[in-house]
Amino acid sequence: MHRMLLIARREILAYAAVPSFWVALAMGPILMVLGGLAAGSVAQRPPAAVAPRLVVVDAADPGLKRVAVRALSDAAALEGRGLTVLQSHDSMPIDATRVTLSVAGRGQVTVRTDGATLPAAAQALMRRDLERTAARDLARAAGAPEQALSAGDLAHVQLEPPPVAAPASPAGDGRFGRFAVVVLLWMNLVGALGMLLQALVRERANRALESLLASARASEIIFGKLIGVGGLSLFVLAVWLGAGALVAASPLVGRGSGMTGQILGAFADARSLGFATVMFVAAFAMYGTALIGLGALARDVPAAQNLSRPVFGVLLLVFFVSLAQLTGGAGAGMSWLAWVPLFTPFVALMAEPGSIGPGTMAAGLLEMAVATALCARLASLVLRDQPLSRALARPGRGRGATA
Amino acid sequence: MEYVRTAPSALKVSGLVKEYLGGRGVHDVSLSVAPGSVVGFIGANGAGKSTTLKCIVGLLEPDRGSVELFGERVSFQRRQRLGYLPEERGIAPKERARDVIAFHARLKGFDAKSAYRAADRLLERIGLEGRTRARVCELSKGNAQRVQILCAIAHNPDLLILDEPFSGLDPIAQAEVQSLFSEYRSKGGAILFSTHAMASAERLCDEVVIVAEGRTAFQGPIEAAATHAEHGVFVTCGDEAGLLMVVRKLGGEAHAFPGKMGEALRWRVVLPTSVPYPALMRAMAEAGLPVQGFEPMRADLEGAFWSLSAARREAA
Repeated sequence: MHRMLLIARREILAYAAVPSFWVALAMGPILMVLGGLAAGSVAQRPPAAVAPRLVVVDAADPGLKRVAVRALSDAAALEGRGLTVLQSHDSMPIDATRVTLSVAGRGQVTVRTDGATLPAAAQALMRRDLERTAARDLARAAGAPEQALSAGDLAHVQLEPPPVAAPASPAGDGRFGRFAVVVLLWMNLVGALGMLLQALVRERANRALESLLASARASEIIFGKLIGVGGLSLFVLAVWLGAGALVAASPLVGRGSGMTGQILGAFADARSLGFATVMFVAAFAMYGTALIGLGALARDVPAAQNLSRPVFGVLLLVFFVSLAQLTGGAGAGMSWLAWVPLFTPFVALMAEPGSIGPGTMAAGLLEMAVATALCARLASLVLRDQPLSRALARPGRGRGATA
Repeated sequence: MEYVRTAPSALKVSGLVKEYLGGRGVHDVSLSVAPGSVVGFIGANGAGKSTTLKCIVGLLEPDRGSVELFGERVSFQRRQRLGYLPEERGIAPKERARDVIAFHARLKGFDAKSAYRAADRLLERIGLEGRTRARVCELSKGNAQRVQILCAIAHNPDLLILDEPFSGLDPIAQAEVQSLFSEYRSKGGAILFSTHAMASAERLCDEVVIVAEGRTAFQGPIEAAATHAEHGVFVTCGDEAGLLMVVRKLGGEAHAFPGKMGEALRWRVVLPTSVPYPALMRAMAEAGLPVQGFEPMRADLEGAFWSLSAARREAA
């Protein structure tokens, strides 16, 4: 343990002594603050006027419906801002505002809208035309001359404003927020693995590894490096996530309910951040031990880069799977990948809360732990012995030596 | 000459085998190092010296054979009493000399305070007290190498395993390092070091182990090794047929070294002890052979090395 921590400390000092490390560390919070401020300024700006698309729905009184459509069409001509009145035979877009007419009693017409508020001209024209029509209908029904009736007394049109939508959950369905956390984790993981590979290959190439191996166990070197580089990367991740959380909590930053709101919501969620941290540690341990094994096979940097390509290829695949989960479609049914250790952390982070049960999650983590132990064992063998020659040596060569 | 020891060896290697693909490696190496003694490990390039040392310090796992340290079977804990200098030097170039020495001492169990105290003392000992804050990459090659030697001895090991400790050092640095080893030895430490430099071995060693073709050819004191030196001459001569005829006539044997020197070929000529060198010289002159070089083998370690190495090569 003592040697492992010494090696870890050495790795930390080797990287922390380089100014570029601190520059890279500061970049995350700076970008997050800038992004948050930008999001805040966008949120504080009054929303741009939306040109509503209206569709009038009335199954009970086609006459009133025709009047309403005509009134709205006149209003659209007056508004000249793109107010569109859709005819019933048009295909209705998902964001169209439904204008529903209902006749509550004699001369009582209620108009409800479920989306955008109607422009003032549309409200006025529709109220006037509907009242007139309703009054005429009443007069006809009563057999009285139209002029004898006071429309205001007998007909009443009530325009109900659209219901106020409940404030969106900060994270909405949270997909963007989860993806932001995955991206952050992925970036840190790739960066940390690169550092780890470099740390090993550098010592392999300059022969410092031999001196180290003469003084420490291979497992101590492997886990020392993992702890050192991993601890440093975790520190970077914590600073970045912490900066994200501070930005999300800042009153200067507007959240909204869109993508920005989801992302900031994810950063404000302590459980989500804690889970991401656990997944980062598990992923780094597993990928890291695999990479150390491959790095130990290499004699120089080009060989290490060639050997490590499959690992980074897998990480790229993992990223695309997360992207597929973000966009839905093919990604929707990918939760089974949580059983595959290479994908477990990312699939688990991208999955909707509750969609992966604790049993599956625990099994996934257990598999990752087993994979880590296996990779560490192989890496230890590779570090201690000349692996290729050993693998190609006479079959059946036993460990007959007593050394 | 047989050597009989009573005290347990600091190191005892028996029948060590470690074979690489293609048949290289060590096939049967045995050696021992007595406590407080200095043993030179001599062999040609590729004879198996570094492989043996790596097996001893645990960098390689032998296929067969045994390694005992301080009278007991080797283990990681016992290896903590070793100091090791690898053949291909390598210490983190960006680290400070003082830190890197202390780091190695701490790996071997020193606490931070003792480790830095040892580092300071050793740096002062080799005259680098003013450069404790210097990074290894800022030091000269010789100084960097001396720092690496200090890494090996900082924790006061009971046995030092050094792979070519003098390679790359100028004569002054070599003398300083030899002085360091003498001081270490005076405190009871044992040393096993591989080398090509016979002069260094003769100056420092109580015993030598000569290894050839992956097998131990000899272990014993230098004086005993010298008795194995053949009576013969290194000859450089382009007339192969003529030389062979002359040597045969004198009752000797001629063995060619691989590779040519211009038109001439270098030979190791072994003569019967009754035939003095001038007799060969005279016979070659009478035969009109073109002789570019004529160097009698000395009855010393180098002569023994040639003889024992050649004998092992021929046996193999």
